[in-house]
Amino acid sequence: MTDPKSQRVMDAEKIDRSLTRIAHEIVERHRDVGRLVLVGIRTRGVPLSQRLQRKIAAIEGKELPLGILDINLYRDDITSVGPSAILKETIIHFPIDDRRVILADDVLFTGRTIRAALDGLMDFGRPKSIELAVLVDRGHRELPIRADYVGKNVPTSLEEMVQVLLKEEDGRDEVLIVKRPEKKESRRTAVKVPARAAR
Amino acid sequence: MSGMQEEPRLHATGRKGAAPGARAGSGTRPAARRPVPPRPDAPDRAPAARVEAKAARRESDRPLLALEHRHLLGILGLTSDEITLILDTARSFAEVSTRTVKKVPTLRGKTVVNFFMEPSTRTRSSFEIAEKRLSADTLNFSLSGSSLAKGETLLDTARNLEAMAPDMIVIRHQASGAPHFLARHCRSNIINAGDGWHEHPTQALLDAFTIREKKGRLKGLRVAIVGDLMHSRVLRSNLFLLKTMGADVVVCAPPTLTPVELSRLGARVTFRIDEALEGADVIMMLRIQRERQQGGAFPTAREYYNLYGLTAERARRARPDVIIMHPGPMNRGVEIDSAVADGPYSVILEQVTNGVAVRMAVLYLLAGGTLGGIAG
Repeated sequence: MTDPKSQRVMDAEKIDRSLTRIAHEIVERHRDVGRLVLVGIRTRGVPLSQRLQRKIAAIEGKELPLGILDINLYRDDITSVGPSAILKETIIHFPIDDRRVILADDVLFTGRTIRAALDGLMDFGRPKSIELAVLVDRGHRELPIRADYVGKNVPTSLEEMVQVLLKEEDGRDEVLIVKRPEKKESRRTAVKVPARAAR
Repeated sequence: MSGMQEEPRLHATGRKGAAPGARAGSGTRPAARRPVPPRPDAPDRAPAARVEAKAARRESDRPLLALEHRHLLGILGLTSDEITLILDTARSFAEVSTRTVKKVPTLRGKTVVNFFMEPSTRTRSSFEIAEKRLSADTLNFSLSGSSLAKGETLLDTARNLEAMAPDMIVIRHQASGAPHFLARHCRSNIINAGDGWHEHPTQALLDAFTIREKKGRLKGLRVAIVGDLMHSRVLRSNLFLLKTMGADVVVCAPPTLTPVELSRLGARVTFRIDEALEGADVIMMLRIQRERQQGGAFPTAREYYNLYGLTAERARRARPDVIIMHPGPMNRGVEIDSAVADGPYSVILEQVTNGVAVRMAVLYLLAGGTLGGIAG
């Protein structure tokens, strides 16, 4: 059920159209897609990168290699908030040396997740270049990071959260802006996995 | 508020948020040298009852995302959810060890002291590699190089260690309960790397990880543990873990090496190895610890091998897909035949490999609460 106080900024059709546009932009910018690889950041960057992979294959007739990156080991806040999620595997079974990597995630917020992802990628090799594709850019950057491909810019306040729901993870495609709940005392106890809020 | 105690304290692990003086116990038998005295206000409850109480508190289908403990002092007191969390996390860390760059910055800036008061090669190296792969700064203390050899008490050593402000202390000690003692006097996270005859939790976790990787599950498996049951901390931790995870455990040793309380802890006890091995999914051999035996528990090593040594012929009584484990170091020709130890069913070296991943997982999961979770 969608929170009645939430505001829908993208529906399934808009998400699909945005990804189609991003796929075309990627192909346009890279005439030789043979050097391209896709890497999705867990969790929702993975289905997004899979969709981009399918769309690029439809345009160019070539399926790009797809990797999955878990950035938890590269977070810079483990000692203050603790490991917040069960680690999942990073699966990059192809060399990224000298390749052009398209990194995909759902929301670009402070930039810290992307910084962690860049650190993680560098441990797998030395790519020729790394570009960033995000479905939503909500602003409030804390690091000098920007996206190369943006599905939608969504200006937000810090009291708001951007919630991306995708069929593969959540059963439906939707981007919502919801009011941030009252901040509670940080505690490391068993908690139910929340529908992911934007980072 | 240090005297307040709203719920029963756990026996073997310091709960996150508990006061530094939280009670720690000595496990299934009296402490070997310096027993940790129980707090007068802590009820003396049977281990099984404690485990049940803990399990009942967390009856839910919610995924567990973080350990609720500040320390890893033993397996006793961990729920199946917590064990599963550690094993799942270890699987992710196993992937790190396959990379070209086998290092992640997770514990950058953290200091881990490896405080080993007993000889150890495997466990100590495994912890050290795990720490280095997580980018922690490590400092090694051993008995010969420490002031303990000059007569300093464990408490004074603990205070001095604490003054250096380490974030974690990995301790191996010949006295059961020494890690619990440190946990009461240090603010660092304490990890038990083996205490006396009591527990060796990371060994049990890496054994469980290896079994789960090979068999896909722990529940319902028939596990035969054969060897020096009397002096083995590995046995106790494995027994607690395997029972918590729903495995069927049968233990086997000569009567002189079988403590009487084992059946109370849920293990089936037999003195006949053929009976123990019958239909086993997993055979776990334990080392004969001659250094801990005051008198001869059996006449000769040759006789022990004849009666209790694992040979290929005996292993055939187990299931065809049996895996054979040993925590090491092995006494070849005493508890295990070389042909079995090096044979196709042996996963002994995989246990060593998995040990690094499991210890990385434990360090990672305990690292989170060091700034915010210290009571007092």
